[in-house]
Amino acid sequence: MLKKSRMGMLALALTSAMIVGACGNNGNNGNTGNTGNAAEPSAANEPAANSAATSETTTAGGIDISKEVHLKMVFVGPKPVDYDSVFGEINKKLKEKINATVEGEFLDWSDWAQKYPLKLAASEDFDLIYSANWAGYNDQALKGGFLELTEDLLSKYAPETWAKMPEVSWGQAKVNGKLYMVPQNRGESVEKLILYREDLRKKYNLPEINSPETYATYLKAIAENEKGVVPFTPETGDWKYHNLDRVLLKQQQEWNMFDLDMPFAYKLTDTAGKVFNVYETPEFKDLLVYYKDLADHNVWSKNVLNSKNDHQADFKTGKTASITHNNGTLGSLMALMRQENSPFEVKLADINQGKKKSVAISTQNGTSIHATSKNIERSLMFIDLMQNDKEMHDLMMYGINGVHYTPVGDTKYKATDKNPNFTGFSNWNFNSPLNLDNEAFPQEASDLVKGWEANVYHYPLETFVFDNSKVKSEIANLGNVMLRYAIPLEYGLVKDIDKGLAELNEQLKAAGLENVQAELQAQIDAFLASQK
Amino acid sequence: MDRMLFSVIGYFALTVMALLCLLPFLLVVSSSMTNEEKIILDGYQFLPFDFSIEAYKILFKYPDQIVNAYLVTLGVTAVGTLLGLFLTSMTAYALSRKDFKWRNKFSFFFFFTTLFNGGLVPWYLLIVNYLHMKDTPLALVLPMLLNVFYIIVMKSFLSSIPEAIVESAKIDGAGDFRIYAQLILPLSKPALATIGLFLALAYWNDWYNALLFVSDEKLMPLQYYLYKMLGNMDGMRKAMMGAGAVVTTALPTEGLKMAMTVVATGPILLAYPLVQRYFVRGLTIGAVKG
Repeated sequence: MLKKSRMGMLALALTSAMIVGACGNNGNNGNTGNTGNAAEPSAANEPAANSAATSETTTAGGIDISKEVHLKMVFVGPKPVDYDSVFGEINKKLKEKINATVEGEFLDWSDWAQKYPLKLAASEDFDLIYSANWAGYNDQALKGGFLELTEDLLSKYAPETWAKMPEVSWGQAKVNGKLYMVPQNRGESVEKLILYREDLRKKYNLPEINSPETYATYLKAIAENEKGVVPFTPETGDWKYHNLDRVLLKQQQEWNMFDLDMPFAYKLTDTAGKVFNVYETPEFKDLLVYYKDLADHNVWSKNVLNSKNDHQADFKTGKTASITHNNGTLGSLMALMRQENSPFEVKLADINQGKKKSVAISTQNGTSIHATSKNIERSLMFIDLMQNDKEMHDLMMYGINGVHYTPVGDTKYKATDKNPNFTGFSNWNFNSPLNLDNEAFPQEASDLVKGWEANVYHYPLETFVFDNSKVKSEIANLGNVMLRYAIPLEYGLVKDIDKGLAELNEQLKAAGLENVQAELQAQIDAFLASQK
Repeated sequence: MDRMLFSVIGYFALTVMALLCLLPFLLVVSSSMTNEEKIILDGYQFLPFDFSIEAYKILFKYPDQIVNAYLVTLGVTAVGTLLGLFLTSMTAYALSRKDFKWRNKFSFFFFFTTLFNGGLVPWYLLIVNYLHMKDTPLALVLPMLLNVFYIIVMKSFLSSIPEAIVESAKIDGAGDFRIYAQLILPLSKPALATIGLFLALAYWNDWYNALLFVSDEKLMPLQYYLYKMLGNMDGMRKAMMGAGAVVTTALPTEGLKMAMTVVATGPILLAYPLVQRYFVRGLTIGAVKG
């Protein structure tokens, strides 16, 4: 009997251990050592010249391409429905041009984040992979998953890209001074805009929205008069700042804020690149007053911090009266609403007119070559064609002419009803000046960007990339403090702003703010010194 | 009279409870048939006021794929459950035998493995690079075949079967396997049903192994197929940021989630009535019986 109860106790202990243990069983896919160590690519990667009988094919650059190779490329996003027909066409042309074929492997949006690092860690067999700063480009490069692209390699095998890519783009794609990516060749503007309901503005006779003040006027008027419409809905996600900070803080003050991931910023025009704590600035405090005022007028819903609403869907159905996002996304949304004959009149607003705009860093989209690839030359030639050969570029970006799109003039295209069968995956790494614009895209959105592009500001620290490997844990702590103390403050949920700010800064200090700041400043100083 | 009153009240209360349990299902089914815009504006509805089968249309846009996914799931669930039950019960039986000298050491060894794991990357490497199971059905069946927790539950149940049965069978000349197959298994139906249901549910709901090890569309189980579909819709919208791409159709994600729930949970619900009568018994077995 005693034995039995002991067994029962054991079973119980085991059970609880199982339950506790099970929690640590999933979702931990970080900090694993790298397995594939990047072999230094020897320039002498010449294919064996055993092609005496076959036709001696060389390209214009005098590169031997007599041996046929099969390239594998990993894309992010679902496999397009018409993959076979379009890639068949691509391969036909690729065979003629560089005696190669390409096969795509697709990591779905639902699980790319888990699979992407695994593919590299397991050193699976592929040659090219889509890479981007938001897909952990820096980490993967440091782990040795990508091949270092030297000037020799690029100028020899991707000469057009080498010639056409702006210097800034190469600079931004460097990790610790080495290049592991061929970035996209198109300056995207990532500045955020505001999309609002023009019909409501007219209905209440509100002033034109062109400054933070007029925007606040609009929001408050909606809150007061339009029952059932939320004036502003933020984008969901793990924001460490207020959703409007990109507009009201970063653009307004002309700061660079490190992707809004850390509590630091520097002024774009400051040639010394002096880093400061955003939360200690008077500008931030003024903004808090602005936000608090909006919150007191019920400009966003009370449960704003745990709402899971899709702000774009809310805007489309008329549930919310303004959202913020980048130009491409808002333009698409406008195009969609017009297509559906939406009863609302919508308009874009830039409330920081004349302020300096910066372009996206080039690593937003890019192509990297797998460190263990055996077809380095041909992979680079492939990238070169995709970015600069109109025929290839259009196939990869828009599908088959007449099936998925029809060209409109030289710079635009019209999407056909088959268009969704070749879209939705990451072909943006081949963005280049050859890109066509969708003609359905609202003209005013394109015009705004053109105006911005004339105003793009280049500054000395544009290509600076912070290597956070030494202070990773502190940065994580800082992020947690920001989520816990700064977010409620910015959404006006804290009654006493001064007290809240003091507490926030105290907590940041405890989380290691000074360490990170010193490290950041040291790296910036070193970077600036090396530029001179 | 009192008894009568008690019955009336009792039945009434139970009926209300049962209906309350059905409400969530009603909500899911009706929301899956409601127009997307209506859901965004007014939330989920108990009755489909604005009827639309758009979500189901999208779900069954490629019927051969979804049928194939169903078949994969059914196959994996059937094979995995049967094989898993067989292995779990054999292991548990061996561990429950008092005359098995090292049973405590073995038990400890099994248990010990549950406390640690190598982490995701080594596991992935093992399955892909060493066992070469990428894109094979094995990758969907093997990882969940033997669960230590189920072995322990099974073992504690088997310990309650009197030793005398085994002894008498031995005297009659039965071998170990025969004792297990013809005496122990029939006696442990409640536990088998319970563990079987656990296993079947785990296999039915598993999408993670498929996520990691399957890229071939023909091998995609239902849950992963649905997960992918939804993830791609959300992801696509997020990823189109700045790509300047115009999303040409509005996707009914909210309704779609509900429609998926209906499609994915429907069949497995049928497993419950079959094993229900064993279920309650099976779980309380091992408690002290009067």
